[in-house]
Amino acid sequence: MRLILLALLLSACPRLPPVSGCNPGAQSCVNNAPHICSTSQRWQRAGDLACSAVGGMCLVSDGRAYCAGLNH
Amino acid sequence: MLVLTTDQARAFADHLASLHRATIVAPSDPAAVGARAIIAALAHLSPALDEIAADLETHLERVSVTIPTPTGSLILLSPSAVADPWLYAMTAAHECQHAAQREALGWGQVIIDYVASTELRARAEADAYSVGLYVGYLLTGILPLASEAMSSLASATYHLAPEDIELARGVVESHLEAMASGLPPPIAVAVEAHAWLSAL
Repeated sequence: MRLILLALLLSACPRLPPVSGCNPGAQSCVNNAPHICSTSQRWQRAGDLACSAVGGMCLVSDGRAYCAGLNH
Repeated sequence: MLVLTTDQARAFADHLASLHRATIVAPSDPAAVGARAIIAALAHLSPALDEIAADLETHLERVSVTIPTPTGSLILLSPSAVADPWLYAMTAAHECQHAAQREALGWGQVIIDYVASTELRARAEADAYSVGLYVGYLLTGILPLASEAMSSLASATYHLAPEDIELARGVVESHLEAMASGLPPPIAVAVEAHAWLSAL
C-alpha cells in the first residue's frame, strides 16, 4: 500500500497552467477574471469565480487586475 | 462592526463546512487526536510530504490545517483559532476555502499540487487568506491590509520562495482591491460567507 501511494505521488504531476510567456508580476483579465503572471511565466488566476459572479467586471487599473463594480 | 457570539461563529463555520464536505474538529475534540495521527502517518508515507507534515505536526498548537481525505476534508482548528469568535470565523472560512479547493481538484490532485508546486501552493494560500481577510472585513468594517496576510505567507510554515510570495501578494492585492470597490473577492467561499453573515 505504501509503495503504491509513493509511486502514485511520484508519477503524478502538479496541474500547472501552460507557460504563456507573460511578464512575471504582470496582471491581466482573462475570461473576466483577474490573473497574475508567475515567475514561471504562467497566468495564475486570482479566485475561483468570474467577476460577473460577484456582480462586477474585471478591470486592469495601474497595473492591477481586480473585480470592480459595474458602475466603476 | 458585527458582534459575533461563539455559538454564531460555530454555526457560521459549520455552515461553510457543510457546503464543501468538510468536518471541523476543535482542539478539545477526541477526533483531533485522530487527525494528528493522520498527519504523522502522512509524514511517514512519502519523503515528499515529510517536511511539510513534520512542520504542521510541530505547529498545530497555533496553526489550523485542512486535511484532504477521499471522502472530504478534515479541518483541525488550532487552540488560538477557537479562542475568539472573530478569529474562529476568519480561520474557519480560510480553511473552508482549502476544502473547496479539495472539492474542485479532487483529494489526490490537491495534495500533489500543494506539495509538489510552490507556485500552486502560493496561489491556493493567497485565495484562502483573502477569504479570511474578507470575513474579518465583514465583521469589523475595516479594510484589511495585504501585509496582514503576507507576514504569514512569508513565514517558514509555507516554505515559499520569494518569487512565490510575490505571486501570492499579487493575488491578495487583487482581492483587496475588489473589497475596496465594494465587492466580495471572486471566491465562492467568500460569497457564501457574505450571504450567511448578511442574514444575521
